[in-house]
Amino acid sequence: MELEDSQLVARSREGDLAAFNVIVERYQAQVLSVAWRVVGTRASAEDITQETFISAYRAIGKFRGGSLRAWLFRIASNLGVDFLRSSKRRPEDSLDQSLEPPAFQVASGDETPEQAALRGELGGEIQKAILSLPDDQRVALLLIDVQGLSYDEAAEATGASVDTVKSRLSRARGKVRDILVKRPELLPDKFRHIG
Amino acid sequence: MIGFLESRRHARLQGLLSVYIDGQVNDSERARVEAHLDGCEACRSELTTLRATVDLLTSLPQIVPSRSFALTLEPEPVRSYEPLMWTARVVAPVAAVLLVALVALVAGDSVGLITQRVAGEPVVVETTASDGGVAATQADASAAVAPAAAPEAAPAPMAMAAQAVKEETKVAQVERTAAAEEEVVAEVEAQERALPKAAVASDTTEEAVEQPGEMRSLAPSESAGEPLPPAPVAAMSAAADMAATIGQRTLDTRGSGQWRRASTVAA
Repeated sequence: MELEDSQLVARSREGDLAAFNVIVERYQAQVLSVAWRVVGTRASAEDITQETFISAYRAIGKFRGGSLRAWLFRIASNLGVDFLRSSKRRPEDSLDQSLEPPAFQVASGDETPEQAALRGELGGEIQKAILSLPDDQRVALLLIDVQGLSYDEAAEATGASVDTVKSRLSRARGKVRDILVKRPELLPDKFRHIG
Repeated sequence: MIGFLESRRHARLQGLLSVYIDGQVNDSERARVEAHLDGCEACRSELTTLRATVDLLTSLPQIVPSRSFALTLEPEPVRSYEPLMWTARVVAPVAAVLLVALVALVAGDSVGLITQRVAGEPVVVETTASDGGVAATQADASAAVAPAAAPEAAPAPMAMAAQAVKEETKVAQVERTAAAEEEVVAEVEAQERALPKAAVASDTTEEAVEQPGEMRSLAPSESAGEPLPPAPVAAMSAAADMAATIGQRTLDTRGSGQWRRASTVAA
């Protein structure tokens, strides 16, 4: 029987590392995705993911309920932004690495090589657009559009108000759209049939 | 004027498009947006591209990790050096007390304080002898008495006078000895006034334990004797630093990397 997050958190608070590792296995792909899309490099994303779970285990006693996933994303995104600030670089500085992450496997079904190539190139353009966003807008977009958090969860994860999250998300989507429309050959038909 | 108002209304409704896509507008906002879209080609175009962008973002694949991030050891590196830090916290006060005692001993030896207090009388004799005052008085008295005592047939009054002179000489000797003792006491007080410096040095030892650099510079200059080796304190500080370094390395080897120090943990 699969345990609920709240049950795993309760056991983790009592020092049950095995219970916490169930949490790790459950969310490590999502945390890694957030970290990678925040900082743009594989090695840094893995470091941040590991540090996220170490920090979460240490601070599990301070978790006050609510969305565990949002809490983990908050730790990961904070670590990612801190990393970028401490290294004094923009995430797009390491864009070449981010476009072809050799250690990552994309979780997708069967597709032709052409489709894979287009998807890969379009994915690179999307990632480039995401990495070009200001930190707060990037995090809002990642949490809501990529990871599927609700507005309330994203507000909880970022410590901002719902209205602020809405505003950040709106700006982030507009900027990404503006970048993508410059590569119409990569875009699906619904981008071209405007009006 | 009408164009300006229309432009502002257009911009405001454009700002609602993102929320409109997510269905997060209230009924009033939805009605206004849809009414505007009916008559605004630009906003319809924007809504289309924005919706397509959101569709792309929401369909981005999840990254599959190449390894597990499960924790194999309890990630509390603080514990790895905490016993050493605990030992340092226990040993440091003891070392500080020993250091205070050492400072006092060396400072005392340098001015002969301990020797005076254990054998105070010989110091007085030595000091008066070197002064020469009492000896000269005794010689003068002998010289004064000798001529009077030389004649064997000296009358009794002469003998009495000689005795009186001897008694006066003794009184003078006692007074001068007392004066000499006062000088010695003054000297001892002067030496004791020098002691508070050592005491100050000792009082700051506890701070110096936390700041070994200051301790090294303080001990030799403030104590009058041999420069004190700050080795115990410095060694403990070095041990604590080393332990902290080991702890940090433990953190680093767990994958946090060089950015670890600047990161913060959301709680």
